[in-house]
Amino acid sequence: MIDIHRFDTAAYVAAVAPAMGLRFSPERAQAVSDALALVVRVAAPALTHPVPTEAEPAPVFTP
Amino acid sequence: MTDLHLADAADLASRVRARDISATELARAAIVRIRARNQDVNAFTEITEARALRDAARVDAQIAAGADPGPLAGVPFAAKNLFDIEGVVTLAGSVIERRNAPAEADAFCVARMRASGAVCVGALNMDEFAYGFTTENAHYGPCRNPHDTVVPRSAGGSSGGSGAALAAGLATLTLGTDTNGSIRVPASVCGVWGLKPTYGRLSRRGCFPFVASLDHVGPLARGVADLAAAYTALLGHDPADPAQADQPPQPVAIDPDWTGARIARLGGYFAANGQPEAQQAADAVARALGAQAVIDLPDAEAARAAAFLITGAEGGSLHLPSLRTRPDDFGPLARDRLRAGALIPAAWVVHAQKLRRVFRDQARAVFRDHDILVAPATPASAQPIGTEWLDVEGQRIKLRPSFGVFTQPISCIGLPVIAAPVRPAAGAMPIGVQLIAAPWREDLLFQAAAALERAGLCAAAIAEGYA
Repeated sequence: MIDIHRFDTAAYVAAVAPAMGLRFSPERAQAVSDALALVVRVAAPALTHPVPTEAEPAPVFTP
Repeated sequence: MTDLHLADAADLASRVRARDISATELARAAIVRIRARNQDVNAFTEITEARALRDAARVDAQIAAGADPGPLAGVPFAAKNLFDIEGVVTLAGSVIERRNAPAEADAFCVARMRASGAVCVGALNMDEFAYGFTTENAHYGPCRNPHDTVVPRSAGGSSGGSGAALAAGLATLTLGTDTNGSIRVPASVCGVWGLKPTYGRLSRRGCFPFVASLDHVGPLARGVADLAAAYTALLGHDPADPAQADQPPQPVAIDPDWTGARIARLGGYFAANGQPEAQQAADAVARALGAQAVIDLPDAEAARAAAFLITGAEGGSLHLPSLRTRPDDFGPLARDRLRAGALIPAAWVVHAQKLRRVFRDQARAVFRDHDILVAPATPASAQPIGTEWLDVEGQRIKLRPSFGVFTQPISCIGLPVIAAPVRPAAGAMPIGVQLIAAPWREDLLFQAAAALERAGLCAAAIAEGYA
């Protein structure tokens, strides 16, 4: 699903943050990029773990 | 009167019911003690004196009228400041929420405690918006661990005030919340008992949310009987919490003749990732409970990763409006992590939610052969406030996100856990161990915890400088 070594968090933050209405200085952009890099690093075992097509997401919703 | 802070909840309630002491006297003594000692630990962000005296007077009036005030009659308790307490602004550790009107009603769990006769004496410090494991709160100051009066050490988080208030003898019972370990981590490093019930067991109504998919509420205490009494008080059906499961309340009664269950020590991921003190504590508990096996909980690392993703995304989404308009009102430990969380791709989050199902099914298979799993609660004991790095097995890892390394895989799938405080050696800081059961089997956890307490291996004590 993802190659964590090829995920450019700085470029991703620069591209996506404005679209999400988030604006910050270049210094903060670096800090957000670092925070996202930590997410990617910790999340890698999940993102590279296969799930069966029929697996339902877990959240609770009772109509 | 001077030793009331040492007594357990059952003792205090029986003395109140017997009119040996009034609930009002008890509340006054608790508030005097908080005012005298809170400055040393910074566990309380608000003391609810007027409410405490009002509720205590109500308990005393009930007793005078021959009515039953409840099993926790007059027992002083405090709640993490994300629980609504009528008349108090629910801060959730932030300044962003500080401008809000005071809560108009108690959170479900605060109301349940009051209905059992307990008296709320205040609101407790926490990590900003519950996003942390250290309670180094930028706005209200760090919560200091009572077990070291020389080096300021973390009380754990995010329910740091809930752990520190107990270890300093400033409350008899406390309430906390646990999304990724926020009851179990402070319980571990403050040397007290903590229960994270099964996801969906206790109502979260009236609690400021963090990650709806993973948020739990639960009690902390200095003894297993107290923990059971608080848990029993908190049980109750609440249609207003959409995550509460359709399970009947199952009050806990400790069986002194309990002879054990099928116990396994978790190896693999749980035998790595921690300092020797964490592993030795888990080994000691496993031995004391007669563990018959060391087993692997498959894909625990992936489960922790899934919880990490879901937390970032749901937390970031929750705070996105304020991140857009009031970013400078967030503390530095929360702001950029929440921003990053708000940017996590949706496909990753859906994948993580699917992975929870897979991991849940694997854990269910494990519980076919075992009743209780034993694992470390934290990778180390309390570290000095401000510590950035932790050495684990020759590797330098970031401390703040790593303190949930053992707790996150378990709350990811909502299993019930008691964090048991292993009695520390003289001069050592406390550390806890997780007792983990299948969903809805809190009863087994209480029996095992009580057995460990009877054996003397696990015990929660008021810190030496506060006894």
